[in-house]
Amino acid sequence: MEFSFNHNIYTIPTSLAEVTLGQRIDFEVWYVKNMAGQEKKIASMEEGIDKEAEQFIYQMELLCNSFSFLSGIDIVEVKEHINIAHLCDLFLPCFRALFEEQEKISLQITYLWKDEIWELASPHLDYKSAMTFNEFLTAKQVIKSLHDLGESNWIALQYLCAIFLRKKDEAFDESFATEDSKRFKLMRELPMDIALSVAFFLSSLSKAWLNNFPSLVMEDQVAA
Amino acid sequence: MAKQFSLFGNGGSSGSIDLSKHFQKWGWISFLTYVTEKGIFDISGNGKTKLENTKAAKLYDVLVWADERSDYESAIAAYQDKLYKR
Repeated sequence: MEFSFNHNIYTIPTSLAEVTLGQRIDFEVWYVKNMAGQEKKIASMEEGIDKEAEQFIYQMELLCNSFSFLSGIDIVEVKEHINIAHLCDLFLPCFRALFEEQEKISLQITYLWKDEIWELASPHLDYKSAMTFNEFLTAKQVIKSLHDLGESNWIALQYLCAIFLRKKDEAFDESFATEDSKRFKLMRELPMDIALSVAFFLSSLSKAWLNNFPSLVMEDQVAA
Repeated sequence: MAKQFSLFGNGGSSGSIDLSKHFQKWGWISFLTYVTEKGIFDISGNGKTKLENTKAAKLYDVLVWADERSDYESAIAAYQDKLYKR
């Protein structure tokens, strides 16, 4: 959605297709650095008016920063020159629409992106599945390494998109899952609706392989 | 790893070695090594190493094999435990 501010035209996203995975990762980095501590502090406060006041301030701060981040308007400009009531009227419906869309994500096998056909494998694991052990192994190992390093889930999703989302009939290449590869970098530009579909695919795949291999389900439950 | 495959757990018998720390450190690399050493998915004469052949194997086939091995080794370990206790 376009809007005018200080004689300039700005855009804020109204659908997940207008937000990239790279933007989501950058926002997460900013959030952890600047606001995660505040959130923890509020969570540890005793219930009461002080906590409610802190929660309100936190939410307004988050709203202003989210708006600044997605529109590109400097946070100082947002805080000094945009009425908070107008901001709520303008931005909250857009923000809500993004969350609602996220809830409705469903699995698609084929996507059109950057004028090319991209595909995900079928999440149903059976003797016809073409997925190789290497794809699965690389994904598991990458996630383990990122978890050990304390990296965010969004960075993990960038790796998983590089591994599982491929051009039509393209074979898996281990280099896709390396930080310096063109493919990995390209995934920063992936629209969030496709990125979240990959996450949905992985969740379906995980359910499928646990359903197919009962002893693995049992082991999982024992360990949990 | 140990969460998903019983063959990577602590083992069924009371005298077995606890490998959980090893699996925590090496994760799926350890599983890859195990499958490769067994040579189950090796194709001789195709110009690829054992490791390459294992990686190229179908995920479904590897998981079915691992699942069967898991059950088999648990049964053997349980039997040995029983013998040890007698």
